[in-house]
Order: sequence, then structure tokens, then C-alpha cells
Amino acid sequence: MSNGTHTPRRGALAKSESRQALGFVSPALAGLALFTFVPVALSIVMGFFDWPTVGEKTFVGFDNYVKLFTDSPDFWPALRNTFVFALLYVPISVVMSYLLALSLHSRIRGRGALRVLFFIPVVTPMVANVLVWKMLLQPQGLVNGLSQTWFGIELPNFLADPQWAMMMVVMMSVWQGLGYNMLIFSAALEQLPESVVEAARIDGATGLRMTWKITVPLTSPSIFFASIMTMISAMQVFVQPQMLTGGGPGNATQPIVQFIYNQGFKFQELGLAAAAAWILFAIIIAMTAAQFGAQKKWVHYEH
Amino acid sequence: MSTSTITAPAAPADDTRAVTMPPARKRRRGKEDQEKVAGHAPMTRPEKVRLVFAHIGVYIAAAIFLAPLVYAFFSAMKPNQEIFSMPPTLIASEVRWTNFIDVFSYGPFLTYIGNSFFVAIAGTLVVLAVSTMAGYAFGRLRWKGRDAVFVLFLATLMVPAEVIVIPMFIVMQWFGWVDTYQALIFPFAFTAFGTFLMRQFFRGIPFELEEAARVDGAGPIRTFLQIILPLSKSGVAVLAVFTFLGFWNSYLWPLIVTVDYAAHGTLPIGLASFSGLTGTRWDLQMAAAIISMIPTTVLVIALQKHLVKGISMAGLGGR
Amino acid sequence: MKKMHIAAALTASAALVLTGCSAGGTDAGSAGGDKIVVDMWAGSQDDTAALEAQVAIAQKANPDLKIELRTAPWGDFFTKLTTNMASGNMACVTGMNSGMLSSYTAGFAQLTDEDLATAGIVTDEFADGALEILSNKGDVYGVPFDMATMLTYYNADMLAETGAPVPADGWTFDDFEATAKAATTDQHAGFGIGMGGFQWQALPIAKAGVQPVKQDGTLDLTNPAFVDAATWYGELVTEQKVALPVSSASDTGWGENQYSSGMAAMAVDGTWNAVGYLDNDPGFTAGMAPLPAGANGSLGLVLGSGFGIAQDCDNKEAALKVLGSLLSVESQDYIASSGRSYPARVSSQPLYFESLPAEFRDQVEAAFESAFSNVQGQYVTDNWSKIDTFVQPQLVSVYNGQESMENVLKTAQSQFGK
Repeated sequence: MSNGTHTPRRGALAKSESRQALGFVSPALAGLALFTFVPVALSIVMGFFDWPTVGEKTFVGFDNYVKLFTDSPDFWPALRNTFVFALLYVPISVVMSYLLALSLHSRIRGRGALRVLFFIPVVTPMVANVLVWKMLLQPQGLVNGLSQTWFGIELPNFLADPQWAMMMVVMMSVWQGLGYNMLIFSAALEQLPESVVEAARIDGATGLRMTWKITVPLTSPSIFFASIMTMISAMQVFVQPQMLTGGGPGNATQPIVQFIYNQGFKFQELGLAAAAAWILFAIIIAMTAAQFGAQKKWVHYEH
Repeated sequence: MSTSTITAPAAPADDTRAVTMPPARKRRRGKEDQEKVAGHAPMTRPEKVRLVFAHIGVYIAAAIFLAPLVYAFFSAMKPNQEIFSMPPTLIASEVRWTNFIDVFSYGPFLTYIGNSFFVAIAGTLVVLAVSTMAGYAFGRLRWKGRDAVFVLFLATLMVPAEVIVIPMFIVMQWFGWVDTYQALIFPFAFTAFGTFLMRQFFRGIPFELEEAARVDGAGPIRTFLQIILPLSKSGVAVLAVFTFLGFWNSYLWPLIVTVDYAAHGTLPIGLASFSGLTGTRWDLQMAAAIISMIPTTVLVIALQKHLVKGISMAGLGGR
Repeated sequence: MKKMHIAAALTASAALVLTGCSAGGTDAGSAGGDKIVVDMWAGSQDDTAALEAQVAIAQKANPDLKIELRTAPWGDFFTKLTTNMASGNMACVTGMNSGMLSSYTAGFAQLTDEDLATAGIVTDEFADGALEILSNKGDVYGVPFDMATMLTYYNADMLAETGAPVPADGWTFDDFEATAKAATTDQHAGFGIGMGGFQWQALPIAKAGVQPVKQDGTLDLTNPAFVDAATWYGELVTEQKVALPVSSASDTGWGENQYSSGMAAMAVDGTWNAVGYLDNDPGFTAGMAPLPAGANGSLGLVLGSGFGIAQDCDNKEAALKVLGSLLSVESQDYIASSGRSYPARVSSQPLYFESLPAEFRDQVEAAFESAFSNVQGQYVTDNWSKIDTFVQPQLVSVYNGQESMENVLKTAQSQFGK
């Protein structure tokens, strides 16, 4: 973290520097205290209360947690849906964007323009992306329309079928997030030490072998980074199911964040929502820690 | 997902390595090398053939990728009854450019866009001010407890926005900020992410420059304003762009804290409620969606050169 | 560097201009001496304009008060109302709907006879039972501006094209099935299946002759008559195939949208949309009839929306006055003659029909008259809106044949009926 490369200075100067440093850092500290530490502490407290939006709050101990695990019909499905989504979305997104980054190498003409193109859905409001996909996936929409016109095959009602609905949420999300991971990988690929790549090429490594044996290991830190980021964002998925499938059919695509939102702001049970949020938080930390633990096996750092 | 952009995902201390943050100069050289290779290395015939196929493959992929947006664009110009036609068409019986104008009279769409710009710009300014200052204190100044406090900062990166929206709402109640612009701007403008990014960036600036200024009698404030900030333009720009995108696309938090959409609704909120009240008007929904894509797309095109750099600097972003 | 300065200056000034414009609009609703905020749902710009006209009438009647209008779309209004109640931000005069009231009584003040007098409301001037629309367990929480019930709307062009029998007053469920079947072709469905609580329950209630809630407010979703009728309703999609399955749980207005965009020949919706349908976008000839009659007659619900007063309103008297003038003869005449909704005030009701184009007038009047002659107040449980939220996404599975209606109702009953 720290590298004290400064030359030692006189005490008075150091003291004034300390004071000024405090001045520089205090807005950030105050903001962080107010808008992160306080809410985090508060959410712990809220998890132990029956906390309606309006009216009396009562301390209930672990009741909210017990209720979530034993008596809340949507909670387990919401957890399951979140995991299913993450398990499908993360690998597909990482692999596809890695392949895309590989294909967009420096000899491709117009790759700057192509990068921008793949990046458009990333910077577009998610709601707009979802609206577009919802139109495409209507039973009378483009996808089914083309399938019927070209192949005479009637496709399922994508957003109303439990399995298909989740697939479509995943597919739409992959499409939306592709450009982001692609840029992470592009950046990593551009930093590959040319000497190593050349040496491998002279040794006769080409194509897939070269990619698998040289490129992937060399860029594994960025793959690791992208996987963690993608996983964390996948655990927090909300807009896509909310807008595309409404969490349905039934609760087949309702993820944990939508569950939290519904409990808190539709059913007015803020305490229950806070408890659910803490469970999500614990899961994210555990999964991140697990990935860090596993990284030693496959991530190669240059250092 | 939306609000998390600003809090930006966990980048625990270890990640500094994962992100690989080489000094900017080194990276640039690497790119030049590559370009040199691209320009000069002689290609064999099979290599040329392969390159042709690579182009075909990439462009087909791009076409498929872009198809939904292109189709949405053309749908935005159809009369509503022809949106779902069998067989599907790209251009309907008439081209209705007017849909793009009608959108503005169907709901307070202009207000949503104005609010989004205001919140995103104001939020970005706050983030920039707070993050550069704190980044300077962490990256360039020496003070007692600095590293401990910094670790504390980094720890907060682990907390996803979704976890604290519920208590954040209560905090807004305490402040009387529900349904205000403040509530849209401030709560997610103090995340440790910007500070972390700026600290990393500032540390890449040679200390000699600062020492020289100090010898000339400049205090930290002057050094910060006159030496450090001017040298960090690209870093600040990157933070600004991604912060802007984060605010612009944010959905969950505004959904919770905004009450009067016609007054404080931002674009994603407006777009979502718009789709509810135009249930049958797919033409207008598509026009609205396309319009909402324009500002950020322009931003990305304008700053495309910095994109890769910004991403590689920290892997932050608008999702 | 120079460029950066300019850019910074520009953004800063833009920010300033924007804050300047917006400052002051953030004040809470119930506070502030002479300002009364009116909160109501509104979808399109037209809805907002109509509300503004009513507020203008109220403003004219109360020149010493400053009346402000706040709106949110129907789908979000009630979520936002919760937020408002929680943050002490509830508008002094807040809109409410008969079906939603039970979940929000905590936020509203009970209106006594004295209060109504202060507001200048004379109960006798309103239609019979109008004051019950916004009552819960005998307490009055608001005064309705409109009365509504559910109707069957049909696309006359489509029925003519397919030779399907046209719905008429006194028609039965057999007639309904016949029309739906005859009007179903490859191009369009005979019926648009409902997703919203009012929309999907209307036919099952009419067919069964019972409501899914008992009069005392206990949940009765598993009442055999209701289950049978609801099952029949789901089978319109899965068995009889006269309606298309819903495409996503987020399509909360599926059946009505199908109908109004010319993809289904019939749909069930409230009287509040009658004028909207007559004046539809694709330009087909719309018609309407009461709900079909089953073995037990044709039970309909009397619904309605109106205004109530926030419990924590600082200036209740002023708020009551505003409420009174929002329901004044002038205001009621306005909504009636603009054809926006069917007013609760008796003297204004004829104006509603007069506002309609001559060719529809008789038909609409007949349909309304017949539909309103068969109505019962809606019974609701305290957690009624939760049940709605639960059932809606399940309906998608029912319509797509992956879940039985009976199961859905049973689950809902066991979960919410405790």
C-alpha cells in the first residue's frame, strides 16, 4: 500500500502537512461516514426489527432471518434464480467477450469503430436495452417472426416460459455487457509483452494452441478481474428481470434484489428487506473470497 | 445493477495487481510496438487469407450484435400497427420520423432528459472534487494513520449499493431528502472508488516535480491545483466519464427515492414509466429508447481513445 | 488546459442554471401554511392536462391558497404513496382508488360528517353508494370523483369481418364463448386475457356470482364457485384458445393492450377507459356491453377513485376546502363533459353521455345503465394489494399452461389468508 519514498522532513512541516491532508480528505471521509457507514450500520439494526414503512418499529431479534429461510415462499426461489443467472451469465459473458477481444486484434480494420459499437449497449440506460429486447421477444416480434417466415418454426413464448424466460434474461444481459469485458480484455491483450508472443510464434505456436498456451495464461489476471466484477454485478441483477419478465412467470426469474425491492417498497417490510440484503452481502463476500482463494491455481502474475 | 456502477464493485486491495496498472508511458510504448508489427511484419499468403476470414467473421458478429438496435431504430419510425407484422419488415408502409417528436408530447420526456443531465453533471462534479482531493491526501501527502484510513476506504468498496439502498432510504427520510435532487446526487457520490482511482493515478506522477514546487514555497493546496491536477487530466477525464455514465444509467436508487416523476424523474425512470403508460405504443417506446441512447453514445464516440485506457486503469464502468 | 477550464465553467454554469430552475420545488407536501399539494395518478400528458384543469377550478375557488399538483403513473403511484407516507411527504389531498384503499388507510384521515360539511360536500348530491367507494370497515376516507365498473369492449369491425355475434345487454357466458370463438382467426384473437386485478377477476366474479373476499374482509380465493369460474377464465387461453397467452409478467395491461392495438376482438376493462377505446389509435369501431351473465346473474363491482386527506396534513381545513372544490359541480361537470370519467355527482352524470359522439351515445348509456344496475361494493382484505402482486406473475404461468389456476389460488389463499 504505502511506499514512503519521501525524504524525511522536519517535524513542523510534517505537522502542517498532516493538517492539510485532513482538510483534503475530510469531505470524502464525511461523505463516506454519512452515506456508507451509517447505512451499513443501520441496515444491520433494521434486520433485527419489524420495520414497516409507516408505523411502530418493534425489535424482533432473528425473526426476520428465520422468516426468510422458513416462511417466505419467494426467498429461496429468489436465491436460486440469482445463482442460476450468475452461473449462466458469468462464464458466457467472460468467454464471449474474451473471444471477441481476441478477434478484434490490431490487424482488423476499423477496430476502433467496432469497439465503440460493441460498447453502445454498455453505456445505454439498461431500461432502453430491455425495451428493445422485449419488443424482439414478443410472440409476434422479430425473433419468432423470422423463425416462422424463414423456417416455419413456431418458437416458444420466450418471456412467459420459466426456463426460456431465464435464458432470455441471460442472453440479453450477455449482449448488454459484452462490450465492457471486451474492453478489459482488449486492454490486457494490448499489454502482452510482444517479445513473449514473438518468441512463441518463432517456436511454431499458432492459432488456438498459441492462444490457449500463451495468451490466456498471460492475461489471466484480467480474466480473473473480469470474472469477479461480472460475478458481483450478476449477483445484483435487477433491471433486466424487473422490466423484461417482471420476475415471472410466477417467480421463475425473480432475483434477490427484486425480492428485496418488493419486500421493502411494495410490501412495506423494510426490516425483512434489510435482512435479505445482508444475506446477499454475505454471499457476495463469500464468493469473492472463494475466487481469491482459487486464483492461485490459475492466475499468473508477472511479478 | 444500475446504482452499483457508482459504488463500483469490489476492487479489494489485491486487485491493484489484477488490474495491472502499468505506468501510462510503458503501455503506450507497448501499443506502438504492436502497431509497428501490424504495419511492417510481412504476411504470408495463408496469413492473408486468414485475415480476410477474420474480417468476415468479426463483421458478421458485429452485424448480429447490432441487429437489435438497428431493428429498434427502424421500428421507431413505423406506424404502431405495423410494429408486429408477419413476416417482419424493416421499413413499414410509411416512414414516420414524427415519432421522435411525438415522444416529447406524450409524457414529460424533456424533463426526464433535463433531470438526467443535471443529476449526472452535478454528481460528476461532486465526485471529481471529493475524489481528487482525497486521492491527493492518500497518494501524495504523508500523515499519521493514512494507510489505516485508506484500507478502511477500500473495505467499503465491498459493499454493493443494493445492500444499502434500504437504509439509505431511511437516512434520506431523516434528512427530509426524499424526492429531491440532493437525494439523487449525494448518496452515491462519496464512494471510495473515485478516491482509489485518483490515488493510483497521482502516485504515478514523479515526486520530484512536487518537491521542486515545495522548494519554491508552494503549499499542498497550490501544488495540488497547479501541479498535480494539470498533470492528471486524463485520469480525471476517465473518472468523469464513468461517473457520468453511472449517474446517467442509474435505475434502482432513483426508482426508490423519486416520488414525483414529473418533477425529479430521471431518464431511466421516465423510460420505464413511459413504457407503462404507452403500453400499446411500441413505436413511441422505441423512439424514446433510441433517443435515450444518443447522449452516451456520443460521449463514447468522442472519448473512444480513452476508453481502453480508462478500462485498463481500473476496470470500472457503467453497467 | 484552456479547453478544460471552459468545459468546467460550462458544466458548472449549466448546473447552476438547472438548480436555479428547480430550487423550491422540493418542499414537502403536507407542510407549509397555505400550500396544498394534490397528488394523483396520471399517465399521458392528456391525463395531466385534465387534472390541471380541475386544479385550476379548485384554485379559482380558493384564491388564498396555493394549490400544487403532483402526479405519478398508475403503476407507480401506490408504491410512491408508501414512500410518501413513510417520509412525511404525503400530499394533503391524495388520490385513492376503491380497490387499493385497504392497504393505505393508515395514511388517510377519517372524514367525519363535520369534515364533509367543511368541504362543502352534500352526500345526497352524489350517486347512491358513492360514499362507500372510498370507505373501509364503515369509515369514510375519501370522496370519489368517479364511479366505475367493468365492461366488455369489442372491436365491431373484427366481429363483422368474422361474422361473430355482437355482445349485447343480457348476453350470457355461452354467448361470450361463441363470440370469442367466432372472432378468433390466425390474424387476431377473440379475447384479450387480463392481467390486472380488476381486469382478470371481472369475468370470474360475474360468472361465479361471488367475490374472492367475504364481506367481513376475509380472503375467500378458494371459494369453489370462484375457483371454477377462474379456472374457466384461464382455459380461455389454454383450452378454448380464444386468447393469446401473455408474453411476460411485466405486461400488466396485456389484454387491454391487445384489444386497443387491434389484436384481440374483445377485452374486459373499466368504464374509465370507455372514451379512450372509442377513440382508439388504430381507428377501429369500438363497442361495449355489460359483462355476460352466468347462472347467478351478472355480478359486477362498483369501483371508483377519489380524493382523501392525509392524516398528518397540517392544514386540514384548507385541504378539505380544496377537496370540496375538486368535487364541486363545476369540476365534476368538467370531467363529465370532457368524457374522461363517469362522475360520482348525480347532476353531472348526463353530461358524460352528452359528451360522446352521437353514434355511440345510446349504446354507451345503455351499457352503463345496465352494468351499474347489477353492482356490489368491492370487498377487500387489508393485504389486498400484496395478493395482487403475488397473483399477477403467477397468471402468466396459468395462461401458458404451466400451472393450474386452482393451485395459484390455493397457494395465495394459504399464504395471505391467515
